[in-house]
Amino acid sequence: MGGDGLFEDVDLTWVKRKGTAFYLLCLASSLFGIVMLGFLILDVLYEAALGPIEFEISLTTFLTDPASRHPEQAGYLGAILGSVWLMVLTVILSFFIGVGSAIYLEEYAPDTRITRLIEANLTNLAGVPSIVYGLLVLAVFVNGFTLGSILLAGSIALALLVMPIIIVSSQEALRAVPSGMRDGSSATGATRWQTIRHVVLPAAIPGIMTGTILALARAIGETAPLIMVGAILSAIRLPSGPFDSFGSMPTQIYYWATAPGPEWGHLAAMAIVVLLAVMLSMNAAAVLLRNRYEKDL
Amino acid sequence: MSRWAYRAELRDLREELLAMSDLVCEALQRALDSLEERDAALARRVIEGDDEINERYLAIEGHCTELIARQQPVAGDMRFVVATFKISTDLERIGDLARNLATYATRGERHAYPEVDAGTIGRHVLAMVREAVAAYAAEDPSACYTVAERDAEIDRLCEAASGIVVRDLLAERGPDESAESLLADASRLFLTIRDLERVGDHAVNVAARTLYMVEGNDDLLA
Amino acid sequence: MSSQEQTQSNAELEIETEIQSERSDRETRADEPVLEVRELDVHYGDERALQPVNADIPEKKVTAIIGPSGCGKSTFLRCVNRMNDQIDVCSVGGELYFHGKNVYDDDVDPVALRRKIGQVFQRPNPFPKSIYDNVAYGLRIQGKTDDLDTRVERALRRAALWSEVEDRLDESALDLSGGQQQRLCIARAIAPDPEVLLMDEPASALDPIATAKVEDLIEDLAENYTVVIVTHNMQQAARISDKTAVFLTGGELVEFDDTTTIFENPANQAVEDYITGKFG
Repeated sequence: MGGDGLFEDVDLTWVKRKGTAFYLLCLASSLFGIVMLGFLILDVLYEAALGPIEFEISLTTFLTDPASRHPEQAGYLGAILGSVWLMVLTVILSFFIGVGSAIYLEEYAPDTRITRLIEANLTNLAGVPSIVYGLLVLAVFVNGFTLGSILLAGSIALALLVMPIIIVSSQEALRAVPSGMRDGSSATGATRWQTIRHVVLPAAIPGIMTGTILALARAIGETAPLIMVGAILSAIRLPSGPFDSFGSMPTQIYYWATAPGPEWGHLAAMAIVVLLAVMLSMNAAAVLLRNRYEKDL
Repeated sequence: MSRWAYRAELRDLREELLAMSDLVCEALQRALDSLEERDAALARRVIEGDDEINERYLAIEGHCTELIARQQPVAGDMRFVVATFKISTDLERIGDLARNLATYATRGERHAYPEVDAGTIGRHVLAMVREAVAAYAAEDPSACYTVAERDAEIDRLCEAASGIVVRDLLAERGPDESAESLLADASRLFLTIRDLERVGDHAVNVAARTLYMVEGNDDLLA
Repeated sequence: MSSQEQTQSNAELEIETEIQSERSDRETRADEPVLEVRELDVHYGDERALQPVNADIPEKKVTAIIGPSGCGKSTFLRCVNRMNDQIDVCSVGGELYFHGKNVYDDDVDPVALRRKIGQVFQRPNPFPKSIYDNVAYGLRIQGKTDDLDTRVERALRRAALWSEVEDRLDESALDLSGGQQQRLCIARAIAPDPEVLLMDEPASALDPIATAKVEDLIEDLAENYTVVIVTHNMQQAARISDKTAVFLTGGELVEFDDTTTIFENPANQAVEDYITGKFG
């Protein structure tokens, strides 16, 4: 055979061993996170399952009634509805302002020092601890405008919290629209507004939606700013509207988890399962949305 | 300077054409000598040498078409390739005419018309061919015009020579000469004159193509 | 004959008659330049991108612009429909007359200008919409919505794309091949019937077969439109254009003449060196 010994002078043994070692190290690192998450979920599921089994907490009551002093009568609906209200108001308050400022910054703003200052501050705002937003709303809206500790105040805090995230992710989505499309539109005789309305926004909207949903998934789990604003920890009745006092899913969990007595812990676990399910399905929706549209661009 | 392989090919093509022109001029020179000195052996060498010229011609043609196909020459390069292609055809025809002249030298033992100076005409046309090729080699537009102007002189000489033959044919009819040999001599001389004149025409063509090549000027292209 | 075929042949008939009427139009105003460029120069900040350009671009002919990368040929093209306006640091001097009107006059709205001077770009840039909506885009934003179907079909026919897409007009334009996408962009540009069509290296991202189709198309388009095409493919310029402008490094228009003259016997030695490949 002519090829015998052709590669004898090439010794890859050590290089390959190092490669394998590095591969295993990386695999272990990524497994670490997954394993931890798995433990967490299993633990929570186990605790949650014990609730109905050992303490005879009724699932029906849990999902259809507000909270109560008595664990067997305690439900999560008040908190769930509070969170739903919060999210709806937060979206209304933050989405249009956020997308509007993203469009201004990407499509209209000249590249000046002021523009760059605004953009840098947006990035900084996204990193501000959430409790600070709670303090701000407490000072300005709850006490300043004497709104009181109402649901609207809570959603203002959450809206302020997610707005920088929505702006930044909307900017990314707008930037991802190829400039060739804008050129193609304006070269066809479209005004800037027509270009944005008919070409840029339709192309960017999946990305904007994805960013918004992810931001909301973060907001729905926020506890600190709501406590700061004065949310009632245990939602013993259903909220009647934006001007009512309110509870929310994470504050309810906080309340139950710190309450004395073993039943409360299991209630908290069950509440966590619901909150996690909501968050994970929001994330899943965002991923689906992204996968469905990103191949089109 | 980029496309160096292409530029080298263009230079090679030019060298090939000049080499072919050397062969053609030599063949023409020998054909004229063989006519003058009635050297049958020399004439045969000219006749045999024509194959070589034809091969060179085909090689140049091949290289031109290849250059056009693969390099898509434009502007000056395009004019160079096209002119070289056409000039090689003219040179090949001059080679054929040299062979014809050599063929006439192998026939006919006698020289019927001493007053017809085919040798002088031959020297003139050979000089024209050399000048035309030199103009090509030097890319000299004024030399092209000079060649073209000389053609009028050749035409005049050839006409005069033909006139002599015709007059002699009408006047002289010696009793010792058979009509047939007289006719053969006369027609051979006619052909000689005609072929020399054609060599001159081809020399003008070479000059005309050269002028086009150098200046993009088609004045001399009839 | 089915009703569909009937409408097809009607549309073709319509195109025929229109082309004929446009031809007679053309004869009456033959050889009048549609674009007159006078001392047009461009700066990017402090850097000069284009030396003063003077040129007369003839109507309903193909004018090619060639030159090495960075010679300002695309910059020049973008001056014609004022696409350079969108670049903050870009400043344009001199005049550019379109039918005798300087397009850089204060009272000329670039949006209005671009409705008369369309452009096709280097990379096909269809919108993420259906094939139909892409072609109808310009018509809709310009409010030319009567006979939308007929106009869309006519544009697609002129762009030599109709037979390939007629039964899938509702499908996404992004599912087309690169060559089809570019012809779609051409259809989109000509659908609102501009007078001038600017093309910035329209075939450079395409394979040879798609390129050949686009080149055929450009020659056909010159029946109805004034075409100005930037290309870095000199053979392409030689094949399809009537006039050729050669820009060389430094943003200078060095020679502007009939394409045959440029490619057979250019006046300028630097142009000769460039097109024969001795330079660049």
